[in-house]
Amino acid sequence: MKRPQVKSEEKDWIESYVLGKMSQDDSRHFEDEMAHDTKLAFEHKTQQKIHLFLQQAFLEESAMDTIKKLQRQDRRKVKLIPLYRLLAVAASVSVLFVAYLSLSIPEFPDSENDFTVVRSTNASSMPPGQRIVFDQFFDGQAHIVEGQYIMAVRNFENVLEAQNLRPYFREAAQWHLILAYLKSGDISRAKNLYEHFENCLDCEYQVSPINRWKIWWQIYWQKMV
Amino acid sequence: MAYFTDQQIIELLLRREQASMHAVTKQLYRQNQKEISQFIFKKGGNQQDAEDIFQEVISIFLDNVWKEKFLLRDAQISTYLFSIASNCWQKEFRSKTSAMKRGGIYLNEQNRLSPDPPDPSQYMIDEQEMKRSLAIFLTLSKTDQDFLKALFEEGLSAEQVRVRFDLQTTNAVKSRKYRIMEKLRDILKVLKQFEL
Repeated sequence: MKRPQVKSEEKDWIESYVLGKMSQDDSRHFEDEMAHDTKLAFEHKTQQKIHLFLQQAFLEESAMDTIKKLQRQDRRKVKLIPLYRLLAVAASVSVLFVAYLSLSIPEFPDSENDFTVVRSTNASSMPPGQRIVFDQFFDGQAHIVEGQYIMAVRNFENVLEAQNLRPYFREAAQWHLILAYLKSGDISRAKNLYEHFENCLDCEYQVSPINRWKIWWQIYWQKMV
Repeated sequence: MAYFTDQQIIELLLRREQASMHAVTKQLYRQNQKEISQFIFKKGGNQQDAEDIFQEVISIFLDNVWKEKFLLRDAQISTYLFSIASNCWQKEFRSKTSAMKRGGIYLNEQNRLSPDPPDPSQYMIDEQEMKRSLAIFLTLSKTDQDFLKALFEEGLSAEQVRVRFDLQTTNAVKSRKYRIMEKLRDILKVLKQFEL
């Protein structure tokens, strides 16, 4: 390719050489021209520097894009870390709470004093039938503590067969029976009896919400398993 | 992720290839961002300051490598980046402080946080900043930047550029290219970037 005469075309010609787009022959011709023309050599050097400058600007921009992207990612991570920590704590607390509900034995209000008072006041005046019922109740409690749940079921069922039980005492026996059913594996009976107390507004024997949850969870957990 | 030694990083940068740029930048970020950010936080800067300074640090580093002002025998890359960060922070701090002074809300607290006195390299960095390739390139209008990128970064043909920039003829592409290149040449001349 001959050296162009028009200035703008000459610039294209130089650019083509600088960008390595010339054929070998044309490159040789260009170099020959440059060897004899200091103006051309200067223009070539200038264009080479401008293109080098552009190449560096593009690379620098690309580096800045990479850094900004990494900074955005890190910022997102920093925002997410407290959230993950919070979720981890919440999950741990939930697991511990569920384990507590699943593994701990429900506790009922202490009814012993109530009956002891009655018994110790005048044990001889207590009719034998009533004494049997009281004995059955305390035996049932003892069987629960010892882990003999079938025996406990029998004790509390016997208590509930008695006539004219005070509501407080009947409810106490029923709650203990729910626990005895649950621990002896009779889940459906435990559930049926528990449902009896679910919406009870005038119950006299007050079981705390946490112990109600324990029984509810253990019944539903056993059903799921 | 590939691990490059300092020597390999310099060699890759001097090749000026787009392909290796991402990996090199990523490694520079992963290896130095934490230390530099902690330094900025220690000096009273915030997250935004740390991010801005890091970008500036890498920009200066790249320019100095390409201008062969940085030599590995003088320092490790991480040490060099840290010293640039330190200088950049001093400059940033001074500009923040004078802005506050001008606003009449200069706080004594800032004195307590004041970094070490400036060293002579600070003045070099101001000058360097003015001559950084990207900083100069960004003085062009956005359309001119995109035009040059299409031609010389993406390597599009004149016809493709004509279509993208909605020009009538390929001659219009050429004349626009000359116009922008002349503008760039003038900027470089003024900034004495090259002896043109």
